[in-house]
Amino acid sequence: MPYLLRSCFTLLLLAASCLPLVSHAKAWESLSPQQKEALYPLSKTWDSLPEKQQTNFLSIAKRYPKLNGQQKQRLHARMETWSKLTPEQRQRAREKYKAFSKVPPEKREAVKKMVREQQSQSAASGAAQTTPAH
Amino acid sequence: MGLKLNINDVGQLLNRSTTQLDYGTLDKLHTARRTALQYQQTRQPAPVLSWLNEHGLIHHHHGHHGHKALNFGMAVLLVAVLIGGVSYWQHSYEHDHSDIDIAILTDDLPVDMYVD
Repeated sequence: MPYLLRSCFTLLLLAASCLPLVSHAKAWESLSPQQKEALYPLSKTWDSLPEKQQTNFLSIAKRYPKLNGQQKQRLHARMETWSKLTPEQRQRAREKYKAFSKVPPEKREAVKKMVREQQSQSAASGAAQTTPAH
Repeated sequence: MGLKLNINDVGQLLNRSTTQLDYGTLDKLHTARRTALQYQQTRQPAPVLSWLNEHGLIHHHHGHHGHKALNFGMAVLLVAVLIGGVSYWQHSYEHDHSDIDIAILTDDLPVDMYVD
């Protein structure tokens, strides 16, 4: 092989080895105990998740220890639903969240209050329907 | 004056002048030339060049040709690293939504609020 070609090939290999490694899909069993704890609602579906989604959830797992108890509870309760959304739905949700974050705090609080009321009403009506009549 | 000199005349005059130089000046010129040649012969290649030469990646004794290959290789390396860096940065930037995802998943409002 001509030395010019050989040197270029070697340098290219060197360059390729210097490039940051792109994450690959990881099996559930290969996750650390801390990652498993953070992502346990996904234990059954993890291996079938797309690589990009796994990478994103692993980033979430990295931040998990910094969350408080209530946040951890919410995260676990919503994680599976979130994973089942399509990428477009998730993207749209992110855009909505960003837009909602720009709303003045008073209005945002009013919306949250309204949603809480609706939730408690629907919970109450649901409980009334399931309670047997005496 | 009226004396006109062409290039050949100037060349002849210069040649004649060198023969008329005194011994001391000639000796100094000779020493300077020898020192310059010695410096050129003893100048060592850069450590990287030596390493590449030792490992057969370039042929330094080929002189100019080896340098050309090295320059070309370095340019390719630089371009590859730049492209890799930019694509990785784009990849990370486009696909790392963990901050906002955590915010949504731990928010007061349920996820349904943001999902169509």
